[in-house]
Parts: sequence; C-alpha cells; structure tokens
Amino acid sequence: MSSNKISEWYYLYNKDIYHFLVYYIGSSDVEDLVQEVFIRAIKGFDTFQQKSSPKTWLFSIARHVGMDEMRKRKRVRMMQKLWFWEEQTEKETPEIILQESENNRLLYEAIQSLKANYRDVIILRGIKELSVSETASILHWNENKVRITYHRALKALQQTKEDFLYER
Amino acid sequence: MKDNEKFHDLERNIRSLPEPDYDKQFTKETQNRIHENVLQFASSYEKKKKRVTMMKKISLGLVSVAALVLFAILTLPINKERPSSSDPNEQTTTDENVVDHEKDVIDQNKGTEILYENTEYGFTFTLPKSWGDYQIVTDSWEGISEQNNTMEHGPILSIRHPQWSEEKPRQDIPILIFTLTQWSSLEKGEFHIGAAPVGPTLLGQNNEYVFALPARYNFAFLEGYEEVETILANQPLQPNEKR
Repeated sequence: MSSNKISEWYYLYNKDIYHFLVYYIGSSDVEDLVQEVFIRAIKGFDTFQQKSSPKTWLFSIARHVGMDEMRKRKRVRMMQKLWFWEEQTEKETPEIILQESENNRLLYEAIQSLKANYRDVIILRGIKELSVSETASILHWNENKVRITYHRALKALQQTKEDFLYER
Repeated sequence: MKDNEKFHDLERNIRSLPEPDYDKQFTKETQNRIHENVLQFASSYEKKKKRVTMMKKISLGLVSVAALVLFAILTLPINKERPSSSDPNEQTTTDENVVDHEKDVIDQNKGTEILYENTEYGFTFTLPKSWGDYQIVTDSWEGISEQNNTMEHGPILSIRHPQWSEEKPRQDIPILIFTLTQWSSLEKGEFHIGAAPVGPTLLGQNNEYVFALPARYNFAFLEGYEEVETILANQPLQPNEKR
C-alpha cells in the first residue's frame, strides 16, 4: 500500500526534490540524498496526514535530509581542518552554476552565505517558486511569517550581493 | 532605484538560476535505479513491520498468559486457606464443606453399598453390597404392661443376610416400628418389651413412626454380629417423611 503511493510520488516529485537538494546542499552529487528522502518517507508513511499535500511533506523531509547532510559535511570539514587536510575543504559549487554567468555564480554564493531561515525561504519561494502556503507548510511557519521573512531575505540577499560585487 | 524594483530584479535573477541538466546529472537510469532501491527497501520494510507487529501480538499473548498464571498462583492459595479462616461469618461455609465432603464419601461408596427402601413405614436402610440378596423377615413385638398384660404391639422388620441358613444362622438387623404414641408410652415406662432392663435404641423417626433397635438384639453373638455393629454405627437408617 505505502510502496504504491511512494512509487507514484517518486515519479511525480523526484526531479523537484533533486533540484531543491542541489541548491540546498550546493552540490550536484545528491542522488543518494534523493533516495534517502523517499526511504524516510516510507518509514514515516504512517505519520503522513492525508489532509496535507504529499509534495510539501516530501519537501519537508528533503529539508531535514539536507540539514543532516550539511551537519555531516561540516563535521567532516572540521575533522579535515583538525588533521590539516586543507586541500579538500573548499566549498563545492554545483557544476550548473559554474557553467553559467558570473552574475549567477555571485547570486548563488550570496544565497549560500545567508542565514539558514533566509536561505530556506529564498530556495523554496524564489528558486522552486512554491506558493506562500506551500512554503509555510514545509517550514511549519504561518503564511505571514513566510511573507515577512522572504522580504527580509531578499533585502539581505541584495545587500550581500552588492558587498560581494564591491569586494571584487 | 526603489527597493521594490530592486527586489523584482533580484527575484527575476533568482528565478533565472538554472535548473539541473537532468539528462546529464540525474539521468533516467539513475532515477530508475533509485526507484528500484526505494521499492526494494519498501518491500523489506513492510516485511519487517509485519514481523514486528506479529512479535508484538505474540509478546502480548505471552504476557497475558503469564499474567493469568501469576494471578492464578496468587489467588488459589488464598482460596485454599479460606476454610481455616477464623472469621465466624465463614463458619457456615466450613460446615457446608464438611457436609459436601461426607456426601462425597457416600458417593464414593455408592459402588459398594445398596439401599433397602421401605415405603410402607417410610425409611431407607444402607447396607454393604455383600448383603445384596437380603431378605426381610416380618415379625411382631409385644408391649407388656406392669400388670403383665399385653398392652401394645407392632411390627419388627428384620433384614436378613443372604448367607443366613437354618443350620448356620447369621446376625439379623431387627428394626422395631412404633407409632409416635406407642413410643411416647414406652418412654414413659407405661409398658416394656421383653425382659431386658433397658429399652430399645432409637434409630430414627418420621412424622408417623419411630424406628428402634431392640435391646440385646445380638445377645446370641451369631456369625456376622460384628459386621452388623459396624453397619449400625454408621447411622444406616434414614427416615422419609410420610405424606
């Protein structure tokens, strides 16, 4: 029963989840994380409330998978610093961004430097173009908080982008 | 430039950030491989979940049985101890148990006993099975007054052992039958039976008749007199109320 549903949702949303994770993690190598999202969905299928949309539920899981992965990578980086493996500590940037214009690269780096909740709302509302209510459902915020935080995040992003430009 | 215009440009720029090239980075093969892995996991997870549910049910069953056994162990000794309870309110129960126990003994003995029932006078008499083909011999008693006149008379029923013979007589079980008035007169000493200085021994009575054992019935010490004594010691006569 759950496997049929998950299979259906996989074909509907696997690209969306992949897209989200690429920007959330900052790497194209996220296939394993996509798999992890659907495995967690199977484990938590009984807790899924039918009234909410499977899309926002899967995005919510993907966000948690992304957060766990970021923590893991942070730990690895710290270990590498501790053991003087500096050569591998450079922050990854998805190939798609590298291939694009300098402007996109600058924007991407500015997004990555934002604080966590600004980054979340920019990726969901801006890049994934989800509605306010969908974003609210994924982040477990109310819609007003989504609007305000998104506005503040845009402001902060603009400022950061200008700072980056000035530095160069 | 106004903030809003700036933000519109920024939003446009954000939305123009490229999507991954799915054909190169997240190919159909990769998607299918992940899908297969996910389905495989779903199948094994379902099985595991069923196993866990089954184990939970079994554990619950075992716990219930264990609880039941524990409950039985804890409560049974308490029930067993009840008869020895010093609570006076429970005395009745104890007596009933004794009666039940006696009943059981009789039930157990049912296979070794036979019952003689006399409907004319209303009594039953329990005999050992060896008395199976007993005979009832009818005779009569005479009550003699102080003036040596025959004052009262009544029947004697003697239960005779099957092995009794003229040549080798055995001890009978004689039962004197009195009306209630006769018995009352006898007790007052208005008459006596035979020359014995002691009166008959009461065996039982119903609403019409009194049943008694003659004094010195076994004075001849015939064969089987000890067995008869044993039979009589067990209160074999049970009166039935006459209508």
